[in-house]
Formats: sequence, structure tokens, C-alpha cells
Amino acid sequence: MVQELLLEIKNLEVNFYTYRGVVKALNGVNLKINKGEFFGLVGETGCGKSVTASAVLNLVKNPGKIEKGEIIFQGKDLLKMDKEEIRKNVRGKDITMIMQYPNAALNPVVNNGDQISEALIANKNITEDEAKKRTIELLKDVNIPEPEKIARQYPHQLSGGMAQRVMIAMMLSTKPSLLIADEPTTALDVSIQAQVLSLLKELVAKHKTTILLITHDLSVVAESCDRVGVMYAGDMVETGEVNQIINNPKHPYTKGLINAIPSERSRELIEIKGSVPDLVEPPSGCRFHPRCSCVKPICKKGKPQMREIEKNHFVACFLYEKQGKA
Amino acid sequence: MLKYLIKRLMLFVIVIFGVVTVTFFLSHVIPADPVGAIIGENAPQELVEKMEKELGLDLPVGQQYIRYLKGIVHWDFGMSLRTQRPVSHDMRIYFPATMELALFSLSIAIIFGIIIGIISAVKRNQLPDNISRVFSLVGISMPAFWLGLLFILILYYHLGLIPAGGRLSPSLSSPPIISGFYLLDSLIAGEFRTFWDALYHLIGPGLVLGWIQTAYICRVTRSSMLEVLNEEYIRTARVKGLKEKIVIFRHAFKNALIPVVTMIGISFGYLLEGSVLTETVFGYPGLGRYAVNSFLSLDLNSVIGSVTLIAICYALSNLIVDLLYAFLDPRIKY
Amino acid sequence: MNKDISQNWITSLKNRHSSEISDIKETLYLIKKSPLTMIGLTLILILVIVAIFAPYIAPHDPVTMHLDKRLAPPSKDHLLGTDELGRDILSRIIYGAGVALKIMLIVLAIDLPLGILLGLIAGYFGGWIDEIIMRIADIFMAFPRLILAMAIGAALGPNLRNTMIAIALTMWPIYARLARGETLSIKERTFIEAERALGTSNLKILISNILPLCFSTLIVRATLDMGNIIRIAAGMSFLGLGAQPPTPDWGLMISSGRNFLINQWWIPTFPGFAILLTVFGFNLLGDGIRDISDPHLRRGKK
Repeated sequence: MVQELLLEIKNLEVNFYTYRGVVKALNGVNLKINKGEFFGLVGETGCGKSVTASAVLNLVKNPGKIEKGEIIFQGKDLLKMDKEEIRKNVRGKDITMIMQYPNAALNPVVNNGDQISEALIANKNITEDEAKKRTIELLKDVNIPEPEKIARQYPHQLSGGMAQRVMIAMMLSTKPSLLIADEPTTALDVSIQAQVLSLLKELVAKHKTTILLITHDLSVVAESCDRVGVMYAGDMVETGEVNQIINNPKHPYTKGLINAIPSERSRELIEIKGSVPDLVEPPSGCRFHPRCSCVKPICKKGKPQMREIEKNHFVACFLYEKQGKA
Repeated sequence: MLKYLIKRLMLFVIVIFGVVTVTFFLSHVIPADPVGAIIGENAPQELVEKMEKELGLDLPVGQQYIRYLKGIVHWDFGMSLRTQRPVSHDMRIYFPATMELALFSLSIAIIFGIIIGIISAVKRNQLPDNISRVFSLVGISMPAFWLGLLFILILYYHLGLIPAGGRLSPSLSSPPIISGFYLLDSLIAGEFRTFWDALYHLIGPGLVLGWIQTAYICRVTRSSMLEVLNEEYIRTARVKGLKEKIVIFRHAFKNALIPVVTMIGISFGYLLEGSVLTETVFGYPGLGRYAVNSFLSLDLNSVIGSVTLIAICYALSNLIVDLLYAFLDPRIKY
Repeated sequence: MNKDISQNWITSLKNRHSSEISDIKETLYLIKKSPLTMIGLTLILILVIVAIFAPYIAPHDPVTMHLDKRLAPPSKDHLLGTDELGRDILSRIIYGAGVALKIMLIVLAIDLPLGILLGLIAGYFGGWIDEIIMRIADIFMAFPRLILAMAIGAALGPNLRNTMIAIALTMWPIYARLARGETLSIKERTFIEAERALGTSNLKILISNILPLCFSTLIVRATLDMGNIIRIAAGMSFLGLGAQPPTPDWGLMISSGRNFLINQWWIPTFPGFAILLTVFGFNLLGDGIRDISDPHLRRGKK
């Protein structure tokens, strides 16, 4: 099967201008997502996963600023596009996003139905009546019982799981080609997490939507993703197919993450030493070197480049420089 | 909902009862020398005693209180010693004048306060925001009476844009009283000259009060909008590709409205107290000026009447605000 | 020894809850970064200095009349002119700074402790005590402030002392409500439970544990009210219900200068600027302090 490229991020840099100084949140991130893929982006809190997603939607929060790079979506560079054009033709139509806290992501004073139908009206050129009808169907599609009643209710009357279903219905209503899911299950009860995740997988398969799943939970990744990118402190450190990353991690950081998953084999939880660096003054060279167990002198000097070490498996680490060249 | 309504109305009644009681204590238990103020400190003893009897000041405090409560229930505050008319009659004349002025300036304040507040929040830390912040800070710092004097000096004396004061030009007679609002009554009677003249007289005091209220409403709108614009659901609205106009008005402003409504309620109270000062400066014949004159001449009955009426208005506006919440925020279930 | 250990434990629990405003370095940084707050602070500092050193700064005596020099327009000798009794307006404004500050401080000195005390009691003990105190507070808040202050002032007799008492009586409910709210939330925290388990008396818990934690909220609120107090007092004096002649009170100066507005505009105009600038300064400062103590904003900047 020939893979068709949907989204390519090249050398993306984002800075946040705060009173403590400039936070270098994204340090030249590269990423490729193919059409129809379920792509997982993992890393600790504050590593830049969400910032990357925001940048794709051109919704980086203040005081953040995209400094340079390219975000090529369906052949067009989003960063060269006019803001109004992105709003009109990309956001809501081609790219949408569901968020971590569904109850906070729904407007408390607008009823559930209207929040969905307004997305349809804004992007699909249909009448209000049609939108309302379509909304009920969409709510059915996400397995919501009594969709008419839920449509009339307000978000505070929904449980977290229900609210996330409404969000999914809303964000898939316009059949976007890319859905960004930012920690979609983290805030939900454990029993609901699996349901929402499998619903998401099912709908994505049905609509052939590409997914960019952002999570810090490797078990979620292992369960649903095709390919995975691992981020650390604003850098992409490793990308590859899901079994390559889980079973054959190369970057010391990825190894650490995987060791930190409690498994049946080892009951012991192995933590990565140290903590996430302050990105106002990030460590020189490879940003992971202060915490790395295999650190070499070169790690403090230069930034390692991404190398393909097996088919589709890329890693940015000096440990593999030679293998990469060979 | 019904249960809350009853509870809230009960509270309203308790507060009014308390207000009336406090007013009684202020006027009957710790008064300066009301009789002396009316007939002079060196008046003969018989006259003083006669006066005290007339005012009921010779009775024990408990009886005075009961007499007083009975009167208020019938909306009877007795005679004003200054105007020699029943206090309730005076208030019927002066109260609509104050309400007209208050509603006039409140409409100015609501319109401008909300618009400027929203612009300020959307353009945070940019030039329009800085201008509006200074403008509203000056507004809330402004002594109303002094601003009124400046208006008279500049707008009346130097520019001739507003009249010196009053409610109507001396050449015109007041329209037949229906609502007591000159603007409304003159329209009903078809006296358009009177309408324009009444409006012309409202500009000065209306702008003074309006500016100050605009400042309060603008500040609350701004900070409430800023808070709401940071909410996750605003991001959701943007992700949906909605127009910025829709994001701001339909999604942000609707949520930001609740504190703004509270502020409008509170600002009604400021209006009432502002009207005391503004009416005095502009010689506007309203309840505020009436109250001040009563205070200064220690005209007990009219002091009680006007303070009670003002407090009832204020409590009523708070009640309305509380009830409005239920309509604005579906999360509130009483 | 046991006592020591438990005390340490309580202290560590408490520190976890200490207010963010105690991060002095950050607070100073935030004040410096906000030009409006700096302007407010400067205005207030000027006011305080002028008030303290009035006798050295003022070119003339504020009270002595010079009927031969009455109604003089601003000139070299009288920078802001003279009033209807020939008194130097600039000097009266300078002395007025002290009057305004004194009014504000005395009002706060009455109603802050009163409000805090009642709020603490209401919040800590709850039940019917709470109910009674808070209903009384409701009643006092049912009057627009100036109206109530006028009524109290008129009942007590119009003079400066009574004005201050009147204003204080209209403001305590705000502090009582705040203190009560804070007490309610602090009361539930672990370290208070711990103190109680150790058998500390209610009074001691209130004074040494709850009171300090209420303080930052109340101080912020008090700063926001400072300008208001001065404005209301000026309004009362203007109406003739506050300071009485010959006190160099700004509101009173405007009131007596009102009759000269058209021909001797400087008499009522300049004292008004003094009120405006002072209240403006306090409001700027109050706003700044509120923003700085707002955890939302602190997080936002990080």
C-alpha cells in the first residue's frame, strides 16, 4: 500500500514570552503523518505535545509565538496561510480537535445540540433545521441514548464520558481529514476510558479519519496507534511503528518511558532520574543528556539529528550516529 | 425554583424590615436635636413641648416604634416639616425624577460600558485597552459632585451645550403626570418641545452619572471577558472554525454576562448615591436632593421616607439581579 | 517532645497553604512590571510625604484669613489662587492631604477589626451566631453606602468624627463577609483539625491560625476601598454633613467654593483635582495589588 502524506511538520519552533524569559517550547520539531493513520504523540507533561497540536490549528496560546518552520497539510503550508483562511477553510472543516476535559470544553450556557449544529452550520452550508436533524444522528452515532433529550440538555448535566462523546460527535460532524485528540481519555473514569477509546477507533475507521493522539500513557498508544512519535522537552526524539517503539525502543528516553510502565514481568516501577528541564534555559546539545544513563561528551555539544535505523524507525541520539551513517 | 423564590422574597422582607428598624433607631434614638433645628434652639419651652407632641417624640420609644411601623405599612411617613406636605406626596413627585435620571444614565452606562469592556478585553494590552482602562479608572475615581461642577463650568458656561440645571426650562410647564417621567409623559401628551427640553436637561447630570457607571460596568466586563476568553470552551469554539464575532458574542460574552449583571445591580446603588450628589450640583428636583435637604434641616419624617425608599429600591434591584441569574446560567438550579 | 513533633507537623501542613503573595521577589517583580501600579504607588507616596511635611511645604497658613487678598487668581505668590476668605488654596490642599489620609486610616482602623472579628466569629462558630451576624450585615449592605453614611452622620450630628464613624459602619459588612468566607474554607483544612485534636482552644486557633491566613485577602480588599473612603468622605463634606469649617478638607473646599465657580473657577476646581488624583492613585494601587495576588494571573505569567 502506498502511503499518502497528510501532514508534515518541518523544523517547527515555538517560543513563549513569559516574565521569566523566553520558554523554548518547541525546538525544531519534525513529524510526518500519513492519511488514514492513527498516530500517537507521547511524552511527559510539558514536553510540547499539546503545543505542537495547537500550532497545527494556529491556536497557540498567548504568549506563545510560532517562530519558524513549516506545517504542510494536504500540500499547503498552513503557516503561510492567512489567519482568516485557516479559520474558514481548515479549522472545523479539515482539522478538528477533542480535548482533555470535555466538561470544560463545552460551553456551559449553550445546549449540547446547538454546540454541535453550529459547527455544521459554520462549515457545511446547511440550514438550521437540517443541522438539527443531523445533530441527532451524530449523537446516535456516538452511542448516546436518548439523543433528542441530550441535545436539549446543557453540558453540566452530562457525565465526563457523555461529554466526551458529545465532543467526538461535534468534532467528527464535519468529517475532517485530521482529528487531533489531546489526552481524550485522561480525565475520564478508568471504566469509561476504554469505551471512549474504542468508540474513537471505530468511528475513525468508518470515516477514514486520520488521528493525531496526544497522550502520556503508553498503554493507550500500544492499544490503538499505528505509529508513534516520542517527544522530550520540545524535541522529537524517536518515531516509528508502534511495535518498533514498544518492543525495540532505541532512544534512552523511550526506553525509560517503557520501563516505567508497570508490567507483569517486573513489578518494580523504574523511574527516569531527574525531572523535566526548565525550557527557559534548556540543557545544551541533546536536551535529555542531564538525565541520560548513556551520556557521552558529544551529547552536551551538538543536537543529534534524526536517523533511520530500521525501516520507518527514526531516532535522534548520538548512540546511533554510526549505525545511521553505515 | 419556587422554593428559592420564596426564600429570596423572605430575605427581601427581612432586609426591608431591618432597614426600617435601623432608620428608626437612627432617627428616633440617637438624633441630634430635631425640634431645635426646626424652631430654633432658643424657642420657648411650651413650643418645644407642643412640637415634640406633634412629632410623637414624647411617647416611650417602644410605642413610637409601633406607631412608626404602622405608618410605614400604610406608606405614611407623616408630614414633612420643611415642605408642609405629606412625605409620601413629596416622594411621589421627586422619586420619578430620580428614576428617570438613573435609568437614563444607566442605559448610557450599560451600552458603553459593555461595548468598551469587550473591546478592551479583546484588544488586551493594546492601545484601545490602555485608553479604556485609564478612562474607566479615572471614572471610578471621579468625585461626582466635582465632575458636575466642571460640566457646569465648561459645558454650560463656556460652551453653552447644556442648561445650568433644573429639570425643565422655566418657560415650560411639566407634562400631565402619568408615569412621572417627563420624557414619557410629554410623548404621551404629544408635547414634543417639552420632551426635547426634558432630554436637554438630562444631559448634564446624566453624563456625569453615566460616565461613572460606564467605568464600573466597563471594568467588570473587561475582567470577566478576559477570564472567560481563557476558558477551554472558547478554544473549542475556535477549533470549530467559528467566526471570531460568534466566538466573542455567542460563546464568551454570554458567559461573561453574569458578573456584569451583578455589577449593573450594584451600580444601581451607586447611581442612587451618585444622584444625591449630582442632583444637588445640578439643582435637579429629585429624591436625592430632597434627601439632602431633609438631612440638612433635620426634617425627620422626610429623612426616614427617602432613606427607606432608596433602600427599598436598592434591595429590589438586588433581588432582580439574583432572579436574573437563573435565566442567564443554566447551571444554577435553585 | 511529642508536642514538638506535632507542632512541626502542623507547621509543615500550614506552609503548604501559605499565600502566594508571600513570594516577595515575584511580587516586587510584578509590581515593577506594571507601570499603572507604579504610577499609583508614586501618587500615594507623594500624598503621604505631602501630608507628613505639610507645615514645611505649604507656603502659607491654611486657616488664617487675609480678607485683603480674597478671591485672588493664581499668581506667583499664590500658585493656585486664594479663596473667598483670602486663604491660600495650595496650602489648604497640602494640609488637606493629611485630613484625607487621616479619615481613611481611622475608618479602616474602625471597620477592619470590627469586620474581621464578626466575620471570624460567624465563620468559625456557624449556627445561629453566624445567621444573626450575617443578616445584620445584609441589612447594612441594603443601603447605598453614601445614603447610610449620610443618615448616620445626620443622626449623630454633622462633624468629621461622626462622618468617620458613619463611613466605618457602612463598610464593615464587606470585611465581615470576606473574613467569614475565608474562615469557612480554612476551618476545613487539615492543620486546623490537627490543632483541634491537640486540644488548642478556639480563641487560640482563631488568632494564631485563621486570622493570619485571612489577612492577605482582607488587605487586598482594604486597598481597593481606600480610594472609596476618601471619595465618600469628600462627598459628605461637600453636602455639609462632614468636616466643618475651617478644616482644610477638600470636599468642604469645593462645597464653599461652589458659589464662585463661574468667576473664580480655581477655588472649587483645584481641590477636586486633589481628590481625583488621590482616589485615582489608591485605585491604581488597589488594582495592581489585586492582580498580583490573583493566583490566576500568577499562573498565567509562568
